[in-house]
Amino acid sequence: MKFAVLGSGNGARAWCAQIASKKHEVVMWEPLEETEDFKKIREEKEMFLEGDMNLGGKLAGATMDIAEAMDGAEFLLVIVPSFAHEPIFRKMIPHLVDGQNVVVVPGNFAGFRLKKMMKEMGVEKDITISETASMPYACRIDTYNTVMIFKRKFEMKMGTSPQSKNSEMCRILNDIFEGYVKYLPAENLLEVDLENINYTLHPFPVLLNYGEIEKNGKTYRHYMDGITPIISGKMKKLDDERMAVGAKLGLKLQDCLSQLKMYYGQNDTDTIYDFVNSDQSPYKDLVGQSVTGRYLTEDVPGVIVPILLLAEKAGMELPVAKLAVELASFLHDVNYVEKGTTLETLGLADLTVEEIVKLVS
Amino acid sequence: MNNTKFTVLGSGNGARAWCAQIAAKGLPVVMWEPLEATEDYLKLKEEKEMYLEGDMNIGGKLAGVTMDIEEAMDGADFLLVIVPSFAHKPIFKKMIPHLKDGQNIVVVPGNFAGFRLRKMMKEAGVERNITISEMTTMPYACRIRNYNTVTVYKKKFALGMGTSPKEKNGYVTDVLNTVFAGYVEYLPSDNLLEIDLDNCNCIVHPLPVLLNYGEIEKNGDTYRHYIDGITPLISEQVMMMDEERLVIGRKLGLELHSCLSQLKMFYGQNDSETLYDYVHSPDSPYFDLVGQSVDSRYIKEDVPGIVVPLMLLAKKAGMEAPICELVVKLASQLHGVDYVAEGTNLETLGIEDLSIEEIVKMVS
Repeated sequence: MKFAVLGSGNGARAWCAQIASKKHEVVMWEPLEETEDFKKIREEKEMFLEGDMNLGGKLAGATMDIAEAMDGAEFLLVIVPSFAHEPIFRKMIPHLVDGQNVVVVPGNFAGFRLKKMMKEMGVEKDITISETASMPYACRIDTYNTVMIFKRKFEMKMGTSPQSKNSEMCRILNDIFEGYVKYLPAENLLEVDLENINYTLHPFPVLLNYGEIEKNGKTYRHYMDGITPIISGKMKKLDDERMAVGAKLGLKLQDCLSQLKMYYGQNDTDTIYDFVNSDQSPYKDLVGQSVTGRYLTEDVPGVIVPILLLAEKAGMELPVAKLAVELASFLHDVNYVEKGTTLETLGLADLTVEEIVKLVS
Repeated sequence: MNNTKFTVLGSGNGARAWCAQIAAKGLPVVMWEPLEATEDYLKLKEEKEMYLEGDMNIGGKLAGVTMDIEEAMDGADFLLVIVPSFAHKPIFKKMIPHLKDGQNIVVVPGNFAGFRLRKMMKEAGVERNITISEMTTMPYACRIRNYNTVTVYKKKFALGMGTSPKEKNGYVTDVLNTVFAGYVEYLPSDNLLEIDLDNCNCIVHPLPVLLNYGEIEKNGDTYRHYIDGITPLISEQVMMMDEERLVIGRKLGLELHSCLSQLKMFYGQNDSETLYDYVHSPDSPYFDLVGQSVDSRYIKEDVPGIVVPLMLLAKKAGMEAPICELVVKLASQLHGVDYVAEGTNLETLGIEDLSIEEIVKMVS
């Protein structure tokens, strides 16, 4: 099996090490610049994980030529922040060939976006598109060829379009991550898109701690300082809205708290606040926040906006989500609905809700 | 002037301070206690004295202290209603049957009391030839120290007041300026709506609480609303909300004053250009103001009592008020209360069927 990892950041390098440790052929594609790190990796062709997991191995190659990276690859793993999906898909699409399997980690509506862009570019290929609900680990590059894993997740959802190929895709990733992370099959990509708990965990606490973050951003801890008992209660309301959208769209979603338990370990906590302060919490040392951080600049337009717009299409109101979008827009002086992942950017504006679900099933 | 008789309706911090202020001029003043015959009340009734200390040191003899509103109002030229705005309605209900032609009512601070009183008089079928005046704010920040002494932390230099009918504003302003001579100056405004909407609290109170909700929940006892809560960025957002208020005012034909210019008028002029700068300037009265709560009256009173009617008036005038609306929605969401439904709306003010011109005329 041949893999190409498209991306060179924390998560991308970690996946390279994970795949390499299974002795599969894996090529890393660097999308931006020929950095010192890149040159050393291309020379030495090795990648390792340390911390919560210790493994690694040899890469088949590292390149800045996307055609070369994709050539002969059965699996194309797109592992970049979601704002980079569009430019990377643009470079990727001309080189797609029948039979390739694209996996986007985490998904964030990439399936819709990729299908729409392929259509616009007139490219029709018999490929599969998979998405995971989240990154399988919290990690940070330590040195050029070593990634520090702070905490891996136990399991998470993954979906594939067409749906008939999902069990095969899950089997392949479960084999690679065997003993570390388990991928659970979702019904469709939309289910995976809506399971993104950054929706619930990220923007709201930033908005309600704006002043403290402005004053003490360097030492502020998003989860420990920002998620107070009251704010945790409000986040639950936001999460309930997400669950209601799922139910309306016929999707089986998991609430935020049960996802946290699935990721980091079960316990008997009843609130997000209690989980964040429990022994299973991975958040105690997560320090640093900014009022213009990606918890607002990415998660409001990229996660909350599309879910809000889908809900509106389905005839639902999401007052808490709408409030978060309006408040973030006001504070940042940016119209996050207009600038966000809209139904137009996903190619869904003219479809019914049923057609949307079918499109990615 | 020496025969002018005053009655203060209320017995809290501000009400007692006004009693002392009027008494210091040797003018007759009666204090009406609206709630209970407390120990304080019984001693005041016995001794009939009230004093200010701190930023001002004056005081004198009261003409009387009573719980009987009819007795308190009998023969009074000026009825000074000095209570939190949620108490306006119950007090007006008690007051209306005893109103006499020629009486002058002053509500401190106004908070739309003029509309409310006129509506309640109409509903009660009481027509009197009276004047109704309002002030934008209390003339001092003060706290009762003991039963007959109020500590004034900081008095304001000047503040706006208006009267309906407008032609009586000169007279009422003159009387109060005489009472407060050397301490506080009352500046005449065109109409009561101008006073209602020149309320800075709706700008400087709710938004900083909402944007510091987590910190207030954690550290409310030591949190300082102005010093900790109004950061440089939040100061900008608050000033944007103030700009929205000024735009609404212009559309309604009112001459409103920015919060920053009002703070300078209240506490002293300097060259600060932002609320953040003013709050940290030597003229700031806010350095020692400690303690805040997520359930604070900065939200519970100021959102339904001022932001809501401001927003509804803007809508009536065909304008959007997105920041006001956001503040109302966020406060409603966080408190689990529909502050529009529970708030001062155009119906409670009796102006839902009037045009903007008619509304302004009603309180001019």
